[in-house]
Amino acid sequence: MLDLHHGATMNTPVFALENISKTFSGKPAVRDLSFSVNAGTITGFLGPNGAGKSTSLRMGLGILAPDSGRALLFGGVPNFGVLDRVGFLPEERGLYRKMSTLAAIVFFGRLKGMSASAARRRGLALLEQFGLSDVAHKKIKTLSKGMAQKVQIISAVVHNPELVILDEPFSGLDPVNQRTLEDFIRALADKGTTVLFSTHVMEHAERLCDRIVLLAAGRKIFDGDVSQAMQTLPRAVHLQTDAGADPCAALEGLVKAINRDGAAHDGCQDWLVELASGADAGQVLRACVQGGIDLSAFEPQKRHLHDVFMHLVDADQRQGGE
Amino acid sequence: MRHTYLIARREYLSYVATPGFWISLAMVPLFMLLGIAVPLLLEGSTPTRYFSILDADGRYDTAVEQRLDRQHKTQIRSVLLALSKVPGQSPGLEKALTALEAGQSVEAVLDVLDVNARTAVLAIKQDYVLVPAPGVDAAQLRPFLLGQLTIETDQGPQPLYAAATITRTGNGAVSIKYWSTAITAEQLKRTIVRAVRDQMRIEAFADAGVETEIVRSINAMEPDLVSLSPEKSADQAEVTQSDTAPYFIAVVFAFVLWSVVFSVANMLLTSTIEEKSGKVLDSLLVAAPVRALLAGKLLGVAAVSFTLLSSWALAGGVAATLGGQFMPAGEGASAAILGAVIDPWLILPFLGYFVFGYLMFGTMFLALGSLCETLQEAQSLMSPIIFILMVPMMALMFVVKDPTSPILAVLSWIPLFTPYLMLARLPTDPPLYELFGTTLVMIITTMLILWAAGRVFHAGAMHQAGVDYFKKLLRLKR
Repeated sequence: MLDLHHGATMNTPVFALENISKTFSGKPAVRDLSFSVNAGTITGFLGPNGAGKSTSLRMGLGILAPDSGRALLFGGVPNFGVLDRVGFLPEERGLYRKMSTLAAIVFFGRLKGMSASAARRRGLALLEQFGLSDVAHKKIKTLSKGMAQKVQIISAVVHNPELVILDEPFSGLDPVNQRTLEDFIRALADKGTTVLFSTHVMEHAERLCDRIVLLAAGRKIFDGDVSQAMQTLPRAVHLQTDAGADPCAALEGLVKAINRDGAAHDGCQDWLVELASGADAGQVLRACVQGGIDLSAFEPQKRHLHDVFMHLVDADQRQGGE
Repeated sequence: MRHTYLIARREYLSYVATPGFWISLAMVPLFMLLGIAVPLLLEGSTPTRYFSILDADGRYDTAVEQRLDRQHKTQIRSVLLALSKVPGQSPGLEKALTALEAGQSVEAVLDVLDVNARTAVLAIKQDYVLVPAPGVDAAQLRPFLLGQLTIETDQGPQPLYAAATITRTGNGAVSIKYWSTAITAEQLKRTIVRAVRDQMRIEAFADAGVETEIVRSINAMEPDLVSLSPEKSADQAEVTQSDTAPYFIAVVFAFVLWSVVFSVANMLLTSTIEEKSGKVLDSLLVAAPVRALLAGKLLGVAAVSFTLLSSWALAGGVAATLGGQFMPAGEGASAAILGAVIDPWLILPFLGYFVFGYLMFGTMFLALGSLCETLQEAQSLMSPIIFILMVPMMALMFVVKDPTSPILAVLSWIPLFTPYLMLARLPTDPPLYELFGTTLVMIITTMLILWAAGRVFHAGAMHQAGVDYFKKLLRLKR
């Protein structure tokens, strides 16, 4: 059972962009973008580099004015009253190098309205959670890049915000720390905190997100949950037959496309079968058996968000980004 | 307000915690101390120099010796006068002064003094002492002058500092050949020349039938100058140190104001560049409004400068008080300086001009810092501002010479110069329209700079503007 802040429900949008656009020096960075993030969810904001993710997040936080459209935070116009309820990790990050770790966390906690003692208590607890207790009183400049990034994340969430927006939070972290951060994001969501994070590494989004919004060249090209995203990608099956066999006739009507997957080897031929709409892998298997095709391998292809991402971005580029 | 306070607090603590702050804090009192101590130390450490005169006629060496004796007695007299101002001094001082006026020897003066006064007088060394020449010509004196041979003195064997050969030529002219390894030292050379010149004049007058004593008394004639101010009442019109001190103190205040504004504006510049290059600004932008960042940084660094100023003022006050206590001769001057320094009509404008001078240059430097990732980038933009800042610095030199110069009055209307020039000109009582007019222009300009700098800072902080943008704005880059 989620313990959402301030009685918000999972259908309450805490962050919304409505038809926002932004142009820099005549070059459109964000074009007519709309999406919302409901309370208590983890939303991935995905897109290639330069897609306009950071600009959109900044507009959503009110630190950059859109040319048109509007941003809403907790149902209202972003201002520093509601921003105290938000934790933000910017893409360009850094801390005062000469400050101690704990002092930096307390400073940002106090800027977000915490008392010094509360910020200190919570900062120490988070440092312990991230395995950084021993550097609490060390200067930031003595920390490794990964450590400093974790301190920055702690600074962004020390005030226990209702909405956490993380811009490329995994970049610069090693795989172990990426996993620690994933666990931390899940823990935040379990406590009812709404999380919106941008990334171009699909694995994190696939493991974490309830919902994804995909951006390319400043335009939204997908908005939905992960399973819906998967459905945008045609399902496929990998077959291996005798080198002389041809499954095309047997599979007619079930496939959208069938292609040899490389040259024959060891008397075998690999095939990549892209299923027609409504067909499934079981039907393909039955059709092969009924058609007398000897199969030495049959493997329905597992789809990843990365493939969805590539597929949608390619499709968008093929359409000229219109 | 919370954001502004927290940013100001962090800014303040970040400077106070640096060694540079403590060095700056100690620097001014240290220089003040050195300014007083170094001349005293130099004077105290200068040894007595021994010199000889080869005088074929035997007339001029006596004149030189008498002149040195008079200089020594003048020094003794000023010490005795200073001591006489300290309450509870013995009546021996009066007798000693009378003896000096009567031309008695130093020994006679010492005889009437108590132990303390005698110690003070004995501490006054003679800078130069004439000794019999250890040779009859320059060739014989050379090894003594080079330090290869020494002469016997009260202080043991000493080298010969200088030697002068004085010869009289046919038509009454006198030639002095001055030998010394200290070729740039002028004092002894000048003393010898003046003593010989006076003696030559006395002899010339004597040849013309004028008595020597009359010539001496004529030579000793000096007009008694009393400087009066028509602004004071007729019976107390004499210009005293208390009247002149405010002019000098105002200029000193203006210099202090200039240097503080310049150094704290630099602090703002470097701290903003550090935040921008260290990517801290991005984190701050979501934690506090841009105006709070701007105000917080300005207030934090202003607090640093007020800490510096008040510490220096405290050190100056202590020094002036102690100076007055331990140096009776300087009591009048100390009181006059202290009176000028603590004059509210100088302190209040100083604070006001500091606020506006700081706001104008501080926000400009802050805005520039927000556009730059490195100090090198900033330097290219700072050059015009530094050039502008140098103008009042140079104009302040004119204030010392002629505070009522019309050029200064014109320059005072340029708002970037107003804080420094008007402050320095305040003791000259500039017209009220000038006082209020320049202040009004300065306030309006400050508001405009704050508005413009705020916009540039916002754009720079948001990575929407950089050095190139600013250069284009100034049409420095096509």
